[in-house]
Amino acid sequence: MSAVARLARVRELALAGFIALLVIVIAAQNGDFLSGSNLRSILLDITLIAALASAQLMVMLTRNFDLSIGSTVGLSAVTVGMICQQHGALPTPLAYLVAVAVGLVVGLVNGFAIARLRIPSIIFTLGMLSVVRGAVYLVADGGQVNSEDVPAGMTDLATGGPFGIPPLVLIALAVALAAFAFLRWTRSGRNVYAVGSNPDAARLHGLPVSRTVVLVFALSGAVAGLAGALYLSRFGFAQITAGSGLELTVIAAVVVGGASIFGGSGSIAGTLLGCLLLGVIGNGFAVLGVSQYWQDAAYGALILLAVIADARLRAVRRPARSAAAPKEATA
Amino acid sequence: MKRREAPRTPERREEEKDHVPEIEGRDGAAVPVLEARAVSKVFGGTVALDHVDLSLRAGEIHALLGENGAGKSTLTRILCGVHRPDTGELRVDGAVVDFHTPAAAQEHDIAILHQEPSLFGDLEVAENVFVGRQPKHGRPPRIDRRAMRAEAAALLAELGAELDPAARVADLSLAEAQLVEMAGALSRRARVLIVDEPTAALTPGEVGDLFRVLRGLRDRGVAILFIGHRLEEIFALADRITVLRDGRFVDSRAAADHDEASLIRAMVGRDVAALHVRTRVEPGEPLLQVRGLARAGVFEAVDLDLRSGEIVGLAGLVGAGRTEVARAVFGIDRRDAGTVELAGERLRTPQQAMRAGLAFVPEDRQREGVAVELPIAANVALPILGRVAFHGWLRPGRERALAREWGERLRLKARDVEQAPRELSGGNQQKVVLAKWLATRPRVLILDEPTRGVDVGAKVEIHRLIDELAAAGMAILLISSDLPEVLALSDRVLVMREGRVTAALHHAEATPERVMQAATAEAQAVAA
Repeated sequence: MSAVARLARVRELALAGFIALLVIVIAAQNGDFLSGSNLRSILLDITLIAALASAQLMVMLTRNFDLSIGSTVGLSAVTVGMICQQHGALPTPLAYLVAVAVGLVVGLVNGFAIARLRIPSIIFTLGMLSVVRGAVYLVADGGQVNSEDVPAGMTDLATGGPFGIPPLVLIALAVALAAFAFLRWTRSGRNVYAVGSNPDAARLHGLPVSRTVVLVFALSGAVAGLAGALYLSRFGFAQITAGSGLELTVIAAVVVGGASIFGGSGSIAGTLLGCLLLGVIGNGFAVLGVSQYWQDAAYGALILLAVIADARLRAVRRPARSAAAPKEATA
Repeated sequence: MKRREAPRTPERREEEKDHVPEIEGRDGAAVPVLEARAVSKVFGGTVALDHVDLSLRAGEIHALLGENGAGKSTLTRILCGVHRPDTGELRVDGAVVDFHTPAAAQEHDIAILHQEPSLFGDLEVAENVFVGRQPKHGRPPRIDRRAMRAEAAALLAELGAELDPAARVADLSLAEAQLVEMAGALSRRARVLIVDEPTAALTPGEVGDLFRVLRGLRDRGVAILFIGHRLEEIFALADRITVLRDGRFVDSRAAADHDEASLIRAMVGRDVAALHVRTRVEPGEPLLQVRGLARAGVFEAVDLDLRSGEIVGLAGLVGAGRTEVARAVFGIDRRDAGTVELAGERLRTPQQAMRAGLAFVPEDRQREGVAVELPIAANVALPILGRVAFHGWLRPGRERALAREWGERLRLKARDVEQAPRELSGGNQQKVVLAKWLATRPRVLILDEPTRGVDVGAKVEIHRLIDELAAAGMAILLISSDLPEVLALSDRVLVMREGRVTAALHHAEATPERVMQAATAEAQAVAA
């Protein structure tokens, strides 16, 4: 294993160690932190983030960003909720399927626009963030999804489960595992890394650059759609603002998890640890009665720390090829 | 023109006399593996390739030679599917093919080793070798990392390289990265390997290793196209040599039929007399004085004197350090040692340089020369806003008058001075850049590739202008890869090679051969 690979691995270990330390410190202050119900609440809190971050990682590996996911979560949650409100409760699997389909449409629009029209993803998805949020208002038509509209089958997913782990959490875990297998064991998954590491070389090697970009945005959209259903299951209602701001937390989790914002490097393991760290901080600060503002400040400090670490790691490499600096965020 | 003999045996010289150029190659009957026939390519209005032929045979190392801009890179890109020819055809094993993408060329077993390795720094060595073609196993099929690493290690061993297949490519040296690319070519069972100036950044030891590998591949029947500049390397390696000049095919013959002098002649032999000839004036007072200028790893020990009314040409190949010297003289780039004085005044920053009367017209006008979206008038007024403005307020009328005055002197073809340079031709854009710097009324002008990419008409006008400026007493440093241009305009020519001045020639003694020799061959560094 090379020095940098070792460093990267150490970085994930360092993250895990930091989380463990944080848990010990918080538990020493307040024993309730380690209670079963509180741990379950942490898991539930990071469920949405973990699923979304697994997909966002793939997007970011290709040197792109998907800022539209928060709005897509809202669109999918409100769409499913309004269908149930007007036509009666959908069977849970069908509700989830509809949610995924809604997200997939948004993801495909993003993917084709960014790959074919060569629009920088950060700008295009910023536009889509507003457009999709507008669609949420249209779908909601002045109303909102109330708790009685959400099928009981959906909200049941947030409780019970084997070893007290709610099915919701298992769904998010399955998404993360699928992303892990895809990125590690398939050629398309390896192409995701290659395209982000050096887009010009990817083209010269005849890799399907555009198709890869479309694929990661489609996956990101589909997972955001799924996350909309998870949202309904978790909270049992959805306002038109559902999911807003999620994209920033998700990108923070991916970056804290060690993925490079310049593409080409990052892992699912690191991303999940990033989610866990944000979850532990959020919950721990609440348990300790620390102000919400300190939590935001801590998130911000973590992001800065992660980005500085990434920049330093890149600087260690020889200039010959690390000069593959970010040219454009497009494919 | 006297032929200069390279260190060759008397027998070989004997052969040369009555040797018929052997276009058919060593085994005349064999069908070329890869062939380009009458290939042409035009970019914008510039003809990059004009009916060029090239044929590569199995088991030969074929060198492709030419000056900067002769069309080597364009031809290379066509052969590996990056560009498509406008006319002409490519043949593989005698059958016509159409490479619309790099992938299509790869399917025909053509691999390219880029000048700058085109690899994935974040991925490990084995994955770079097999990217897009990783071996799979199991059910459902998934990438077999262990097999991939074992195969990569075997390929690297074939190349005589000891590299950890699990190492990240970003951690490798340039030479190691080239071996990884070559292993990729091997793994595709490439029958044609195109090597684009691979030695530019290698140490002599690494070059030796690379050549050993290339000869090994040739002996196994791979056709190798080697693009290079250094003549000693070409003679050490090549079986056959094809020379391009100005986008045209010059000749193709066995390396044994060439010596250094005949190659240089083939590369530069243009009608130099057809170009604008200068009205020479007696140089006046010394203006610019550069002493011992150096920047670590880029150039060293550069001395330079420019007198009023004098044009000094700075010749050399791309990457020899000419532009870098100019930037350091102007003060844009850091200097590690040395001094720059203009009429006795020490210059350190671009601001000081401009105040003292130094102007620098950069090479890349699109990026550094003009603001393509701003009106011509604003561009011209940019370096002298202080003189155009009244207590900090711009006076558009004066801007326009200034731009009009210079536009007329330079015969700028534009609708009016409100037009944006984006809409102008390359030659007219260059005139806007010139107008902008001439409006500062400099005493010393540095021109970096002033006629690159401009049409012939504009080129003649720019030459005339340079001549007029010198006649009026301006001192001019002319950096150009266009050798006839340098020779026709300069009073003295400095030649750079790998960051050093390797020759300082008076215009009477500056022949294309001598300049090319100093630019390419190992030569003694001389004082300017």
